[in-house]
Amino acid sequence: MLRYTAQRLLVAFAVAISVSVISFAILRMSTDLAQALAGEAANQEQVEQIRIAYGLDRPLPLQYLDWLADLFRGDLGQSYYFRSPVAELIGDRLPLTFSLAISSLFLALVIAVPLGIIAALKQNTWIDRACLTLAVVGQAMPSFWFALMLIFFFAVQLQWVPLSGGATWQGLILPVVVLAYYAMPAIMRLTRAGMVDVLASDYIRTARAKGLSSTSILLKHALRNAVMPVIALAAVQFGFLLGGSTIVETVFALDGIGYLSWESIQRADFPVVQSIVLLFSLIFVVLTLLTDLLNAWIDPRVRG
Amino acid sequence: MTKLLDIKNLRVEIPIQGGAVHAVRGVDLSIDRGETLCIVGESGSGKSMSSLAVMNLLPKGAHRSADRMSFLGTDLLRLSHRGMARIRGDRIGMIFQEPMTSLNPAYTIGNQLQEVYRRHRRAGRAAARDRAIELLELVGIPNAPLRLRQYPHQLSGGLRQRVMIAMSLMCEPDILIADEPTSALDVTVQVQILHLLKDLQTKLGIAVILITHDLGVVARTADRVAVVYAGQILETGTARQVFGTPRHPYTARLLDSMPIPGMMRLRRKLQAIPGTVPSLTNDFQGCAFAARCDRARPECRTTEVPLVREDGHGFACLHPETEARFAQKAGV
Ligand SMILES: Nc1ncnc2c1ncn2[C@@H]1O[C@H](COP(=O)(O)OP(=O)(O)OP(=O)(O)O)[C@@H](O)[C@H]1O
Ligand SMILES: [Mg+2]
Repeated sequence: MLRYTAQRLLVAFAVAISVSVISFAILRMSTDLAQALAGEAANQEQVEQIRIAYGLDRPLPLQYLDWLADLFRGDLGQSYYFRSPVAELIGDRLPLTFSLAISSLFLALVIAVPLGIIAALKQNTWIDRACLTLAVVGQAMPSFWFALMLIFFFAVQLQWVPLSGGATWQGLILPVVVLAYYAMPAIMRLTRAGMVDVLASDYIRTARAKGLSSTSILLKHALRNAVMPVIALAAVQFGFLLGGSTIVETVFALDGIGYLSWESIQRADFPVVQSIVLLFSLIFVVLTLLTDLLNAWIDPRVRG
Repeated sequence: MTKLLDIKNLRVEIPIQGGAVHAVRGVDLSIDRGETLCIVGESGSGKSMSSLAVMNLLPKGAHRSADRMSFLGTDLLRLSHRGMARIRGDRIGMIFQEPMTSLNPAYTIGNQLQEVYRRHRRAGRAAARDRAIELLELVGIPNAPLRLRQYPHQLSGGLRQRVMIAMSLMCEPDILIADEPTSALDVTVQVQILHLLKDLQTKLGIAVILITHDLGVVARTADRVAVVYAGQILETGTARQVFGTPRHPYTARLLDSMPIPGMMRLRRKLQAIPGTVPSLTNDFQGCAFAARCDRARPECRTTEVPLVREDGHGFACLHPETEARFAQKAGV
């Protein structure tokens, strides 16, 4: 397990470095930074002054190291639009997006995994088909429409929750439901598929031949082997949810990362866009690492 | 004395698209304490389905029925799921053809061995561990305490099958059902495992139902033999009866088709059986083997052929063989 962990860490580190290089390159190739910093009105001389002041005339590898050093100091540069540090902009919005992502993934797992198990156990019965229908509807229904329906019923008609905004936790209920319903179908179908496979396996037959209780067969012998792909999927979905759902944040007027990235793209606010891309690439690297370690912990064969 | 296991007219149907596979069609089986019953037959003849039916472990959707299925006087057909679970792994153990996939990859050997003992014996961890070590040693696995901590993927096929055997014997069952326990293993390992089974049987006095297509194994280990074909028993008796003077032409052809170590072949050459096994999806009339039989007459294809017994030697044939086929080699 120790060797495996070290191996995975090394891979994760290599990927993180590559991501940072790509991310740096994208920013440098997208615009002339000196021009952008100086603003539209600046003349050639002013632009050159800024170029020298910010070290943008130096060789690219050196600039990369500078940029990396800044990164480690938490300096992600200045937003063109807000004229304030990018780190601050992201830091302000991250908690909201993070709590949305965590809660909706949790809700999705808590509902989808048991449903997937039940569907697998009741394979090809009406229960199975009902679960499948729920999943298909979830996958087919546009998030914005579902969000608007929920707002209409629960915020406008029944007035159980506030109309919009993330100021109170009640305001987060509907967005969490929408995101969870978006994440649920894939988790449910993968759980079901995994369980169907595992339940037909030889070692489950062995477990039954040993006279074990149904609970032990299901929870000890089947589930553990069936959830591995689900963990990987959940990690990917968590990554997406952390990246912020532009649609959901827009519809519910939540000032999160998704909303920020969408607006920044429209404003060509490259430092912000690039930082968000970098941040979430790194989050994916970390999530992948955690998934690998979790799977190794569950499945001894992975550890080697 | 009541039979350990007594089965009359067992049938198994597996529904498939547009019909059903009649995998087992009226099989009678019985076994006494300490006895070895060998079930032989070609692939697809319903050997596995018969044994799975006894354990109530048939694949989903498959249906079993029987006039009688009693284990030590308990009616297995009427037993609840819970009641059957109490018998499985405790009174009746089973091992399978696929040692590579029959153990759960996520748990250690020790965990999987101990769990069956703890379930049926309500034993503590320490007692179960001691028992597991004892059984691993019994099945000839050295360094047992280390093995307990290993995972299935760290063991070879032969070792895994030994673990399976140890697991099925943890609670000292009355019957061990072994469904082709060696077909997936190397030839040398096959011999070791079969010796082990025979050895354990004499040591522990358990009854063994051994399913196999290897007639050599049958000749060496069986007290009684049942020859199955297309879900029916065509011939049954002691190993001496069935091998010495096979009465059913199918048994005779089967014996002609493979070399049998330890037995001397009289007059005949090795020969494959022509033709193929009949489809099990439709119900056919008469003898299942008639289409491939060189002794078949018209009535064989039209009349039901009952199993007749002479001296405990049963066969279902209207025109049985009379010729001796084998003699025990001297000194074997
Ligand atoms: N799940 C299933 N669905 C449909 N038919 C099946 C299924 N399992 C087995 N059968 C059929 O039932 C019949 C008996 O199968 P069984 O596995 O008992 O044969 P067997 O004698 O054990 O053969 P082998 O020596 O290959 O193990 C075969 O014709 C097989 O095709
Ligand atoms: Mg079989």
